[in-house]
Amino acid sequence: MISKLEKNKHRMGFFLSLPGVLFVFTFIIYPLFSNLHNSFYDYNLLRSRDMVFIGLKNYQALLTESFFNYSVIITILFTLISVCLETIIGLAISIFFTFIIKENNQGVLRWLQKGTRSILIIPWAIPGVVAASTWRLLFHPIYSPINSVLGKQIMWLTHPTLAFVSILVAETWKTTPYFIFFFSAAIMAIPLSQFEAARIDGASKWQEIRHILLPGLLPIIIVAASFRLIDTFTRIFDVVYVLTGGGPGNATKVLPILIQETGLKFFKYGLASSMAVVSVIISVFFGLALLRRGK
Amino acid sequence: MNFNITLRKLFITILIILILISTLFPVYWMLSSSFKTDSEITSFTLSWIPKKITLSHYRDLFTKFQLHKYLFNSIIIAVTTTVISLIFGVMAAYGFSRYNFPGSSILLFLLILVRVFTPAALVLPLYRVVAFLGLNDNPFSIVIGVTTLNLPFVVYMMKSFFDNFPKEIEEAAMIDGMSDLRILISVVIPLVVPAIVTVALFSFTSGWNDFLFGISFSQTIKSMPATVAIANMDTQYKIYWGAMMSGGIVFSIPILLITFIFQRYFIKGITIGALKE
Repeated sequence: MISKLEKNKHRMGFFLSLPGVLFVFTFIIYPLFSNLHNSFYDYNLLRSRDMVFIGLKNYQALLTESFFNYSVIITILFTLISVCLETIIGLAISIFFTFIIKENNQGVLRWLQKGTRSILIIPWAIPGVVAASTWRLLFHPIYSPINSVLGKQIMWLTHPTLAFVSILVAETWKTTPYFIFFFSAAIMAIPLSQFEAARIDGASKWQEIRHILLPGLLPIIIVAASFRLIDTFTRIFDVVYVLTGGGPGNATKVLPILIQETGLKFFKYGLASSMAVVSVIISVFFGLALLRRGK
Repeated sequence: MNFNITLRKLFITILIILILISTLFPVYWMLSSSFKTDSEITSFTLSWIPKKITLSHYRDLFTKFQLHKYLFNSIIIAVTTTVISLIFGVMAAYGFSRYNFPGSSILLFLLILVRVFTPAALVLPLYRVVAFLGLNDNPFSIVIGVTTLNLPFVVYMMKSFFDNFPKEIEEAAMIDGMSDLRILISVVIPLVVPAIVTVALFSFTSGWNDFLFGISFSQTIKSMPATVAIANMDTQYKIYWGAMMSGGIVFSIPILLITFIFQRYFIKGITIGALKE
């Protein structure tokens, strides 16, 4: 039997959660079903306001026309490479900082390390659009200081592969600090006594990292990387939009940009809806897999 | 031995300087370009330091480009997002954390699932919802988009704070005869202010930095946020580099100030997952 008090408690919890849940579900559930519905129609606002039922033709188009498959592959590649880079660089820098802290409790180096840590928050805090517009200038074929240092006129943003490298660089620059903060906090949580014990046993620095630090960090690395994999796959938009606009051609047309463009630039609502449905299925599938592993 | 230590220190210093340069150089380039004349930015010979410092781009921002109006929209979007996210998010998180009502776990799961959706997939249908609500070209249309995606995150963060919050304090208040709502408002919330600050900062940032909903929903200066205005300085005919760089500086300053002042809270927000378990 549920007591009256408990019933009241249930009601209270329900009413507290209601406004938030309602808000999110109103603006999520409708879009989801609307996407699903529209994806079975030929719905092109540039042609007419009428919707014509065409069954699975939109999905068929996605399968047969290469631009969609290409976009999915590019997005997955971008996500994997950028998160790998960010994890490795973030790990290296946070381990490097930890050893400075352990060796020099005072002095210039410690002070430098502290200052650098504060400064590292800047790329992470700068709005994506601003970061991307700066990188556009940095990658400009003529005005680029990078080219000036390299002494070559490299067409960063107009060469397909280099454009991909450019968005990788900009994204990695912006997001690596996230990993550094994440990992630094985790390293601090590993008890120092473990390292001391290893040192007494005559372990080298590398052995300390290899056998104590990395195994201890592994769960954290998986959690951080999983979060970023989901976020990058679903949210990569402003950096690419401003830096390359998805170009040259379709070279950097990642999924979010392709969907937005198909719907709001070319007004092919039906086709864009089918893309949206597929992308939600992909991200929910991988998201759930990663979230489960992360736990 | 001594020589070895000096060498090590030199090596470490060089590494730190490399990290510093790669972090700060783009920021330096944005700042220095914002003070260069247009002809200096686009000259074939690169100048590492502005030859002649000009403030003309900053003047243009507020005359020719009307940036203050776009900034005003950005402020409205960020503040409204923060307020709605906080009120709804804190309430829901407390509900989920303290009252294990039937269906609460499935609701929470669905809410967190929203985090793995592609925002771009929501843009199209939301565009029509917004039109239906009569919010065409209105900053609140952008607020709806950003808040929908931000709320689940707020609920998730606040719930983990509440889960770690000792129940004994509330039990004592209950024995004193306070109602549940009173306990939440006058006992619990004042004690979780640091958590609320963290969540508020993240909400504000997501509203301030939004680009996707801004570029999809807004058509004119009436609702366009500064992110879109800055991106639009790259026109079909000409890229206004000076304005873009100075606009970037002006637009970044508030968020950088907030980040530095509340650094502790931001890092806490980033690392909340790292320290759990």
